[in-house]
Amino acid sequence: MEKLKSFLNKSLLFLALIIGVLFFLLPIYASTVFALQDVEGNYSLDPISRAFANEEITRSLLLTLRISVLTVVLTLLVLIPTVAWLHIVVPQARKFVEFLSLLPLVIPPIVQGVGFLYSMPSFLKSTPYALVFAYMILAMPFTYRALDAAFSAIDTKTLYEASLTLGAKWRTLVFRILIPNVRTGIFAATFLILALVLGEFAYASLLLWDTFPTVLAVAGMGDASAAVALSVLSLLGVWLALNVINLLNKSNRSIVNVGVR
Amino acid sequence: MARVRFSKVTKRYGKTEALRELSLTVQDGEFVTLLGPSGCGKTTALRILAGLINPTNGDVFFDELNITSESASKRDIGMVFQAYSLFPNLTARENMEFGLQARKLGPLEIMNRVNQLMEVTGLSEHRDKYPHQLSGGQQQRVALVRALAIRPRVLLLDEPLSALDAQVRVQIRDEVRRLQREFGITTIFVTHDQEEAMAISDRVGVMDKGELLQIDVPKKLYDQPEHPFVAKFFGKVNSISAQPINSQRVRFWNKEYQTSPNSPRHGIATKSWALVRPESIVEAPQGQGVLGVIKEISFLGPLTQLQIQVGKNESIIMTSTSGNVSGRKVGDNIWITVDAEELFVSVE
Repeated sequence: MEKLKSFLNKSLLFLALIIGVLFFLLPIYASTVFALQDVEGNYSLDPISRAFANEEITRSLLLTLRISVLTVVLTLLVLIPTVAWLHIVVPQARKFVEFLSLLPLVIPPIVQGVGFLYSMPSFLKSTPYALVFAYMILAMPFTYRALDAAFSAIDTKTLYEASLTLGAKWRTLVFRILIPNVRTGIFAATFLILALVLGEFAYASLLLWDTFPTVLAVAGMGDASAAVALSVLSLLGVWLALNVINLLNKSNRSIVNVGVR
Repeated sequence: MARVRFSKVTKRYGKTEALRELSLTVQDGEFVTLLGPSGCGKTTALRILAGLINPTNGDVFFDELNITSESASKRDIGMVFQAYSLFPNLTARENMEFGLQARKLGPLEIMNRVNQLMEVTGLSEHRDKYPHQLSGGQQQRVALVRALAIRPRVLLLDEPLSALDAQVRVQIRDEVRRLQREFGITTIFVTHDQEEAMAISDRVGVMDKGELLQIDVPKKLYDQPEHPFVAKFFGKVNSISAQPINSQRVRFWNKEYQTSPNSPRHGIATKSWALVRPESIVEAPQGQGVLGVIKEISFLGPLTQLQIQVGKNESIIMTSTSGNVSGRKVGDNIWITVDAEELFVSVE
């Protein structure tokens, strides 16, 4: 009876796993087939060539990548000291900040977009890089949590106090102690921002900027297979980025993921 | 090395007074322990000395220099924390070198200092290990070496042994004392373990509710407490209900006893308690002292501890050499008395 129960449990788990995998892989497979197969059933890379031949797409892709990098840099510059400060000085405020960081998830993008447009200084309204600030806020629920979890995994306050009593300056503490020990969180936040910015449509569309996702949507109306091919490629790009981040992280995992005995 | 002086140091958190007018001098090279229960203010005092928190009132001095507003990084102190505080991304050796690098010492000097300390503490074989590859005891030893490597003016130990198991605790405790003597560093140790405090300190300060109640050599604290809390916290003690005769004498168990001069005055007290150490309770000839019933016998090696019920609800702990009470068993009647010239008496 026990054996049968265990077999049934395992089978159910396996079935759930299969359904999960199919749920994620089938649309990607279907998109790939749709993008690369012509009407006669032959496969070709023509749609990709056509997509890259479209100057507007390449320009928007480069712009989106620049926005992504800027968002990553600014988010980390703002959030690493903030989360460190919360852990060291006001740990009791962490719950409240966590709640604040979740607000972008519950406020509809249209409300956020309009609010953002009104509150933005006028010199920013004329540049697509204004989106960097919008994306920083939009990514906050994920980035804050990733960094907070990383800082929670180490005893930040004790490490700070130990380095202080040993005579270290802030710069040493941040670059020699904190950043190497919260590397996992930094990588996770970076990846989440890249994934979010490369796929974000609502803000860019509302603020009338031609980023990769908005241009792709327009291009899809004229040349659907090229647009879908690019979507699949961008998905692959993000997946590759995730693996690179994982590899970088693994090389340091034995040191970073400490478990004190 | 430095002489440390707290001058009327107070720390308040809102309405709560964590530390009340602490005045204390620790001599150059002395090992002083602050002992007390959780929340008594001992760690607050240590953290104020380290510069990790600011006092509400009062000043802290190293020799004659007022360091109250000096930042922690400039105080030249070595500190070992209760929590494991080694930097997880650095090896044991890199951890030990950290403070020296922060002081911008030359590589040769750093290597020599760390090598010397590693030899003294037997940590050489672990130097290339990361903290997660070390046991708790080894981690605290590395933390101790890290603190000593910078040759601090004062060494602060914030319950560094509390997370360790009993055997390792004793080993590291002895090592701390040996190193402190060898380097002659003024050391302040914070603990709630009175046995630990007695074993390694030159002087012990007992604290409660933010106040330093008494500071003295361990033997004097044990034999001549000046406060009921000190008597109760520093070693085991029996509180025996006693009848005040006058301000110098009390009576219980059919006998009168002299009160110690440290005892609070009890001439007008209606209730008083004689605080008697378990080893001062001795077996009395039949018909003398008071009759009790043995409720429990605990064999502790050379000593045996008896729990004796006297009257309806008075429970007395008596320790005796094991040979003296070897024939006794639970349920036996026993006549006991107090063998002491003076007793510390507390009043209500």
